[in-house]
Amino acid sequence: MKRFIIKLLAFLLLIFIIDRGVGLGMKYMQEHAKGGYIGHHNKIINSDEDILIFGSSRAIHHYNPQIIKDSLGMSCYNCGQDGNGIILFYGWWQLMKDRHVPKIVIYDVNPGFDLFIGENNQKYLGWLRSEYDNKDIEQIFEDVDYTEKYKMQSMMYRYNSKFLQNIVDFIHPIFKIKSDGFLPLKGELDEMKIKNNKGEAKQPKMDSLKIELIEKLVVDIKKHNAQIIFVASPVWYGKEDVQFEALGTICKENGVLFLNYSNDSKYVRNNRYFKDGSHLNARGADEFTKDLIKDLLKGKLCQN
Amino acid sequence: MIYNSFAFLVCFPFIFMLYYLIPARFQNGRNIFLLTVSYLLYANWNPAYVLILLGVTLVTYWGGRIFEWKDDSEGIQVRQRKKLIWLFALLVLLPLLVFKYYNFINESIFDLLSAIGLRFQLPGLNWAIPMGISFFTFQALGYLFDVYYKRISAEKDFLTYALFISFFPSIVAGPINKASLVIPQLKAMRPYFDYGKALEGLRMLLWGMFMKVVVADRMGLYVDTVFPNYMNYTGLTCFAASIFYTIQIYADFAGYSLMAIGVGKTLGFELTENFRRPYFAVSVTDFWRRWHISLSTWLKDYVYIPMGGSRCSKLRNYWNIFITFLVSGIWHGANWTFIVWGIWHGLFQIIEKALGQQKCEYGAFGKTVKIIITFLLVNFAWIFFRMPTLSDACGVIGRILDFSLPMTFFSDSMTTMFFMIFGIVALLFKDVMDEFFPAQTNRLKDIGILRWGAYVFILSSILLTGVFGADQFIYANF
Repeated sequence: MKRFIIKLLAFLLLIFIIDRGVGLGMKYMQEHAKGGYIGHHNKIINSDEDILIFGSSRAIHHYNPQIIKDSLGMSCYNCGQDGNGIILFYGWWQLMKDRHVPKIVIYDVNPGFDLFIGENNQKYLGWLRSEYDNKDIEQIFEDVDYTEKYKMQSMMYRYNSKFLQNIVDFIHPIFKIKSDGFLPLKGELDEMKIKNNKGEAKQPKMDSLKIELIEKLVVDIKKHNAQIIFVASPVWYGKEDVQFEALGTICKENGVLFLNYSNDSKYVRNNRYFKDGSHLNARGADEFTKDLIKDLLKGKLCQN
Repeated sequence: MIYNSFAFLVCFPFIFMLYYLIPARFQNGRNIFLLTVSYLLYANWNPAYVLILLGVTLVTYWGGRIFEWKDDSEGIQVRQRKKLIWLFALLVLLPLLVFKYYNFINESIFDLLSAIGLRFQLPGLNWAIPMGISFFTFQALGYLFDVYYKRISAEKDFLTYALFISFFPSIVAGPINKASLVIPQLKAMRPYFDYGKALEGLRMLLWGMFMKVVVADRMGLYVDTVFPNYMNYTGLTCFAASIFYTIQIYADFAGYSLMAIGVGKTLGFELTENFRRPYFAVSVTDFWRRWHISLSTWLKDYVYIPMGGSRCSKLRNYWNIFITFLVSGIWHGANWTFIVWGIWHGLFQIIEKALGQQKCEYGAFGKTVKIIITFLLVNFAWIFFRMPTLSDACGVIGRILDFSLPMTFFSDSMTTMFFMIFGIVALLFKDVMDEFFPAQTNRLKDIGILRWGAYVFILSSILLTGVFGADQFIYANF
């Protein structure tokens, strides 16, 4: 038994040393990323733009910061992140707000990521793990899964599934994200590939944590004298208004603007503007961004 | 117990320490401790279902005792024994039938009656299936059959028997242990601590964890993206998803089994081997000698052989194979997809037997071809296993075979694809070494630095590339 325990402890010590070493290396590479997704992450938490776009892949592909910049005369960065929602964006907000507060945050709402109960909220922590040392985001981990704080003791785990990206973006980023964060999609929708969208009809349950974080984000942004606007960008299928009921209530209670384009007849089932059922193509994105700006300038946005 | 959970990581060291705090001479105390832990862990999932576990244990315990008592005292007649075994088997199977198959039978009867214009349906049940019910029920039933066939004598000590049924490493998803393997270990005076076994157990835990979180759950991300929306993907993508699912289910279940056996070993127990590199099988028959060995042994011993096995006419033998795999399909789940999956395996084994293709006598090239053919046959069968309905399974196969679709392949992000390939290569390397170069592998294992390097590499890979917070093991649903 003694021999077993000694060997086990020796192994754990060895792993501890390697874990710390790899963690330090990863941290260095992350901080010195030359671009790619890691560069995008760094850019977001160190942003100094007037307008920030938050949201999932629908944000990154739907909002052209150049058009916003040209129309409003304010700098803009698209912070959209594939497959992510309020849990990540609340975390990113926490990481950036003490250094720089944007004037406007445009939040593209995706009910699956921002309002409803999904499969597993841990998946939204991926981009925050490497920033765990920041006290402001500890509570998010605690709220999502109390075991995360123990797992976070491993420095290697903090770079789980991101370590390769870290190395690539440090040496030679392969994935090019435009300097304003926007990632337009080329091509047009092939209707043959669109699935029957019967599943959208049922009303999924609200995720209390996501709702709570949306409310906190709204309150915090207002506290910092900034403005948040929620937008539901177009969907090829259209989307039932009922899916946004909870968000509508929050916006009403806090006097926040919510613009819903998900059923806009200009876009719904208009193949010219879409790449697939959920994403606008480059043409659609430009058109939508112009429409959004038009609506904002029409007086829907109280300009600062 | 879910081995890739945080709860396991916290609980197991305590269980390990407390177990070894009990001196070896208090063997009974050690068994009582393990029994308590097993029941507490089961109750932690759903306290009410402990009653089912206890019920199955009591019925089979007393069933065994009655068979032995009748044999000793009265010289019970064969016909009476048969009636009794049917009665006890039915009692043991009752919870399984109710919880797992009631809704399926109810709906199937409703569909059948609807087809002839009658509309009658009993109310459905909305209860969760007790965890591991298929496994502990079959383990208990196996014991009862062994006593019935006089292969073993009935266990008199209830605590020992209850521990055999509820032993926590294997209760959730097997292996389905034989009483003749486990009960003697529970009764014998075990050494205080077996260093070699404990070390081997930790190695198995580590590799099992790698298989689960690095390989299986990573594959699962791709499979779960493609299969539910297969209509949106090309045939090539659907085929890739089917291959990834084939790898996923192997890494998931074999990984789980390794961890279960590993946990058993760290506590000084040997449990049944469950996998032997099944995708190197040269025939479907060979596949079943390597896949879920504890279930195929169970089916062979208690279904196939009692029906006559191969010691009968050819036609009867084919029938026996067919029924055995039909039972295997039904055991896996209450859905026509599992039944078709079982029939598929049964039919191909009958074809192999009829053509004399169960083994391989064609040299290296022929063997490779047979391994590939078997892999593809098994791969297509897994599609039925994975999809929720028969029409979905046929839809996926139709998509794969539709060569008019563009030959494009959906690839996730580059890093995700890299992690998938990394997992597959690591798994393949280990299995190739174990299968084809066992002597060289053993020699490499003797080199300390390589061995330790491998441990560090595996644990680092788990931390850096593992998919955590993923679901349950696939087989824990059965």
